[in-house]
Amino acid sequence: MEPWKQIELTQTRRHFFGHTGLRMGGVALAAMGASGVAGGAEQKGRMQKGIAGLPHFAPKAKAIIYLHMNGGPSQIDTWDYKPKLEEQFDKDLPDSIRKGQRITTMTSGQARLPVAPSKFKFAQHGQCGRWVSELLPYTAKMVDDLAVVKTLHTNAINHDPACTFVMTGNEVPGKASLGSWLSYGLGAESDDLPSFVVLTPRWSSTAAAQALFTRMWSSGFLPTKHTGVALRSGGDPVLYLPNPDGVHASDRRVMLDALAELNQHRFEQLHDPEIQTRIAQYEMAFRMQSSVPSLVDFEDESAATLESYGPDVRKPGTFASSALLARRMVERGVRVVQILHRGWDQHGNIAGDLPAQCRDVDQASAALLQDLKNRGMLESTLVVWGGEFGRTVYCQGKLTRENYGRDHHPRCFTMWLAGGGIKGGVMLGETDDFSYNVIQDPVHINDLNATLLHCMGIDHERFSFPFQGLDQRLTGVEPQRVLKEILA
Amino acid sequence: MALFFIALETTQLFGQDLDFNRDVRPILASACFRCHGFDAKKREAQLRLDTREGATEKRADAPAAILPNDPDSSLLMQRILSEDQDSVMPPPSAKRQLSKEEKETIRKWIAQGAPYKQHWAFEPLTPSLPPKVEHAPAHWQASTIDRFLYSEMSRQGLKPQPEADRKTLIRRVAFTLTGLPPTLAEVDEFETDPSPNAYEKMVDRYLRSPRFGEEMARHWLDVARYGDTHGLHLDNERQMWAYRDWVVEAFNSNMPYSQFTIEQLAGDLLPSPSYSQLVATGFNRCNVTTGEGGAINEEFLYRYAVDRTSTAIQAWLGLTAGCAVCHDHKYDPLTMKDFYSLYAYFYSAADPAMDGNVDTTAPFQTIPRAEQETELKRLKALESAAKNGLLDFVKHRKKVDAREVSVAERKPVVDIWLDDEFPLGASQRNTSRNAARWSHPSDMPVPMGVRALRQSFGDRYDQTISGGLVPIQLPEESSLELWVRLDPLEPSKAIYFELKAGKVTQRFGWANDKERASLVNVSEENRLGELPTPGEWQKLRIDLTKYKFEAGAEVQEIKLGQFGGICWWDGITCYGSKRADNDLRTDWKRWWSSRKGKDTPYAEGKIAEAIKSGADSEAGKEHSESVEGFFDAMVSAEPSIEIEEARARWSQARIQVAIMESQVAGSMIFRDRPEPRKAFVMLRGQYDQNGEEVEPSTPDFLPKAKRGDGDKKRQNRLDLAQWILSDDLPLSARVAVNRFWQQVFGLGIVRTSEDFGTQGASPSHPELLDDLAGRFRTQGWNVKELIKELVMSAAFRQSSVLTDFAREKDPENRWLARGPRIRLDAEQIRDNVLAVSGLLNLTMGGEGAKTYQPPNIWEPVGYGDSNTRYYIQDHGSLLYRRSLYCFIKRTAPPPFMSNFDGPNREMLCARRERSNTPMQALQLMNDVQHFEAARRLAERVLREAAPGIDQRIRHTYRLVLARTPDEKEMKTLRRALVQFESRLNANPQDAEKMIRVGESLASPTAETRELATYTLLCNLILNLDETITRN
Repeated sequence: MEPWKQIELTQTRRHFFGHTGLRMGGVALAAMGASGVAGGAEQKGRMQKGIAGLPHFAPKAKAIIYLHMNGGPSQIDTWDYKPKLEEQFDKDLPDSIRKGQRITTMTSGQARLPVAPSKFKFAQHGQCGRWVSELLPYTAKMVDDLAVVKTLHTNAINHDPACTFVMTGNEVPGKASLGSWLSYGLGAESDDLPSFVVLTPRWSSTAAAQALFTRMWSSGFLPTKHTGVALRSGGDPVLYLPNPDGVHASDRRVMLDALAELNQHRFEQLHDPEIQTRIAQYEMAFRMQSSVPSLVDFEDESAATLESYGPDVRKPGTFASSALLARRMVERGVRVVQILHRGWDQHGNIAGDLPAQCRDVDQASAALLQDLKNRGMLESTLVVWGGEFGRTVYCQGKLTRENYGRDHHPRCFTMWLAGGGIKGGVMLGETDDFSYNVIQDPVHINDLNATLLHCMGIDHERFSFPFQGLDQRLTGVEPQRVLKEILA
Repeated sequence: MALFFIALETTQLFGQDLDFNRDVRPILASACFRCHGFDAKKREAQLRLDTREGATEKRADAPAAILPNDPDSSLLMQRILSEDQDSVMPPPSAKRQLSKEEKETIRKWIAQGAPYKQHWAFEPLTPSLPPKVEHAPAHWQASTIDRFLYSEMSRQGLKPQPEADRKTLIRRVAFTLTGLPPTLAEVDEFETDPSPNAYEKMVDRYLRSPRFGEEMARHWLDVARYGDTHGLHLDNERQMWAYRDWVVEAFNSNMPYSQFTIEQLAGDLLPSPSYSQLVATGFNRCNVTTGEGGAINEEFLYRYAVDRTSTAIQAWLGLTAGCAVCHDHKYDPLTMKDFYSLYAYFYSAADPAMDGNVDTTAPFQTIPRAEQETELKRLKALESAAKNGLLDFVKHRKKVDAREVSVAERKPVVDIWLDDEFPLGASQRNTSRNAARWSHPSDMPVPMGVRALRQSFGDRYDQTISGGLVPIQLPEESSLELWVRLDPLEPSKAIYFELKAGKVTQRFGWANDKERASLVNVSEENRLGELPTPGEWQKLRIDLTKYKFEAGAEVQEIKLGQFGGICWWDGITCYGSKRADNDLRTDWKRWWSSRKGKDTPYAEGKIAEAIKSGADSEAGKEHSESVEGFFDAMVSAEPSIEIEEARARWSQARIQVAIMESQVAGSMIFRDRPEPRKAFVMLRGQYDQNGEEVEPSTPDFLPKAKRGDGDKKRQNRLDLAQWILSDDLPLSARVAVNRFWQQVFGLGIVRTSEDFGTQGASPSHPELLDDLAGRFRTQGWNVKELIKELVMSAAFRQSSVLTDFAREKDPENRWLARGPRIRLDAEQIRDNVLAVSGLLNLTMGGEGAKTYQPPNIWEPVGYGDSNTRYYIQDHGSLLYRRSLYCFIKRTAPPPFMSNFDGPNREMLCARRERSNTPMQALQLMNDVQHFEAARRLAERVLREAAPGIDQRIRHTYRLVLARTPDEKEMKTLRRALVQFESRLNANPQDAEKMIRVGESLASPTAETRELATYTLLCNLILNLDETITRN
């Protein structure tokens, strides 16, 4: 952080100390194990402040849960119903549709680009009558809560740049991620958990899964404390959370009391406010040591809730358990939860791998929405589902009625949004009969991000950070539009 | 842009207390230039205010925007003061509005004649005498730096702090110059040195230390974006650590910064460049690259060149060229054409668009040391002589008639398939995509020959070997023996051997159970046993007769594989009762006909042609005898003793060469293709939208490069490097000096050390910066001298006590009225605990070490097929290497780095933050590295200090903080110690556990409870704010 900005923050922290005093000794020890925060609710969210002037206007959503389907789910087999494709089976993709647009070098060498209609059945669901594929039976029940956008498009055609783009608004590494922007702008409402948390559950497709990159949750040019904290499914949920073998919480308490005394003594000699910040951060670390384990322990969830997420919910590291964790974190004041589910890169074997991927996420995504709804949290929590690009209508590799593969397709793909600030039961955009080009209401990644910021109470044009001679924005330099059509 | 320069001449009007660059430009830049600035496309009303010409030009329908000396008649003034919503400027809709004071500043400036000045950073270096500071304390009057600083701080109403005590000073200097804390001996030496120049002597000692280069290199490697992986998509390993070591050596040998610049940007273009100069060009290979299937080559060639251009321009000139990739820079006078003309220097790079996911992406340079090079030459000559000896020998041999050796007489067979090297001429590939590694376990010899095949991987790993010069056929009643050794610390979960011979393929596995065997796709029937005991060589046997293999079947392929861990393979040997009747190695004519139409490895010239075209061909008839000779020398299974000896000599010589070659390091280097690529302005920054063609050339707004030969020659990177260093260009020296200043003082004179453009910060001490930069350049770009001057200053030596007044007046310490107090950097924090605990391994250079890392840092993000998906930790002393030498995977950098603001090295980073987070607290308390260090520190204290709590606490403080605690601190520490002690007395089992944290073993003589108690105390002391701070 810029030192002169840090000073400003220190003032806030000093205020915090003035208010509560240094919680040392018995006070913090007593707070251990208790679910709440020592010091009472009015101090909540004191330590992780956003920046002045934000939100720009009253936000609809206080938190966001972003379900990123990494690899590029096939829109044609899930949401973008194209009944007319049936008669096009194995016919060449018409030049009038491709229009000479670039395709990846994985299929540009193929002799033909034969059309592969979806082998999956679609039906209409909900009062809105949304067409949904049989691969997503649970999500299909929630369509009246979803705004489905069929006309997302992106600049990138390969995973690495496309993932970087969808998460940071730029294909080139080095920019700040969506979650970091929100953490920077809005802070968190928790003193015990980070403002931005990332989960990377396992997946079921058998083909080699694409990589994730820490830059997808990196703070880039923003202060590093806004980097997403990856909660881990194996081992410790937060890095370095548990005490070393043999070290007891009471040892830690003794140590932290002595540490605070010694640091305070030092502060009295040097008057450097950084020392006081450090004392506070050690106390927060200590609180995390008890708050995080209770966060990941589902004991207090009802049987009905657990059941709704499906049998995987009891297995740490699954999408289902991640989805439930997401709700629990939002409940505790975490601002951004990002679940990155890998394995959606179906260059081949759509028949085997795509249903497996959908099974991973379908029930739990729907349960998450319902769960939030039951608790009255959905109206203040924005939920997003989608990948970094879509997949081609033409087949990659061998085409049969039963099985086929699809290459990357940046020109149109589907995402859905729900919850805080979003109108349910609507659909935006239309693609051509081949799900190849957008014919109505194109939505650029930057438009999507502008909309997400809007729901969180932020005007994307006024939300910037100076870096490399530019006022950097998540949504880039070109004008973007907020998708008013899908706003509540 | 010529107008820009003419404008400078008007500066004589310039008022005493109003500085255009300091006071006026920032207002105009942020409020006006967006629409009335440099970018012609965005310019409104055809008015530009960024040049004096534009602002004072008479306009068709109105007076000029600015009438110098006459603010009231100036249209600009009227518009900014207007109350009419339609004409006021900036328009009410603009985010940036002008304050009353700003409007007044503009008025005053116009009244003073509206003098323009070029942006300060582009102005030539202006020498100025350091001010007289008669009221300053004597030690502030001696050095130029201090006089400039004192004068400015007085103006701000600040007074300097007294000099810090020696204990604080030595720790401050040691971290600044070496990245490590002082040793006790160093502290004692300095503290007891009565000579007046004791401080200088101490500084000189650290400047001479090899640790100096390591600490300096660390900062530069952030700028150079150095990493150990390619950075995109698979993010596979790359070999470039020789470049990292080059940087260390450059600083240690005090290479002039000018040479440092030239060798990195253009080492390859120097006359007969040395290996070291080629390695230096690795700077331009440090950018992230991809090998992603489906990616479009042109796009990535374009991106790499953009990255290299932006990085070089930012690293040396402090200009953020990135904006000009897509459009003319809005704030700095850098046009797109300027940018792409710079890009043209880099666009003809010889490296491919796709890195191939290998660690040696071309151009790759092997870099033998002088003695290695001599030795390699000698060994290669021996090898060649041994081979020729063998081939010559057969010309004069007595031929053995094959028919005389009857089948019945043939002896039992012993065929060595694999030992010390792959079979001659065989092809091989493996999962890592990199060359196979041969070595021997450090703790024991190999069972056969001199080395073994070492395979290390986190997942399933296959090594496939096929083909080769000598056909291998199974003998009668065949069986196989293989030597295997599993690493005791990183054993594999399962291993397998696969044989494809004739029509039969069988895979045999060794694993402790069925599930683990299935990890390497071995069926339960073919699981031949449990895993060998780790740490021991073990012989595995396979009776091939049980598995449908037929005698005489030709071996087409073998695979050696494992799941996870590290495994050595050696001496794969096939036994049989006798050779199969059809064995090609016993009948040269049949062997010959089997080679028809194929290329035979090691056969050359006429012989090669004869073998390929067959016995009936013209060549075959003519060279029949030579073919037979070749067969006897290379292939025959029943050579004479003499041939056997000659073969052995050749084989030994070959392996000697291979061993030496495997010890020679290599590094990815930069050079151009033979034919330059045409470079174009890329419209809107799109890789496929060519605009105007451009030649390599420097930006128009800066002094041009001098051209040697009549402007005819195409410019190259050497010209660029020399231009960067030329006297006319003020930026390079300012940027370099500022970065070193930032290293020493924690904050640059120009705070935005990465941006010297108009959007960057102005220098706090412009005259001082110019003075330092000017002397740096004219006095030979001497880095050590500069650094020494900085740390010798009174400013650096002050106490860092922060007074209330100073905190109010100068919270970030720009005016340096106190000593710099900054949190240690990530590497320093880790190295510090290793050093004080005595764990630190000071070995320099070499491939990246894989130190302690929590599980699931690489694994959850890594691509399925990446060779850096699974982290295999090193053991023993490698765990304790300096952080500079730790492996950096760019898509998942080590948490000890990222947690403390270490960049991920995907792009240039000229300045790190210093954050202060709970995640850092958790790491310092609980990370095995830190807790183990606490335990080792405790052992050290118990060993070294006189008995007694107080003595021990004092010793710990001396080791960690170079000082002793005061009574208040002692009281706190004593109390904590007693509390730890009583807790552990009640729970001795916890003490047992604590002293086992970390891989280093606790001393067997240590008393467990005492050691654990002091471990907790040391853990506490290592977590002090003071410990992780350069005080």
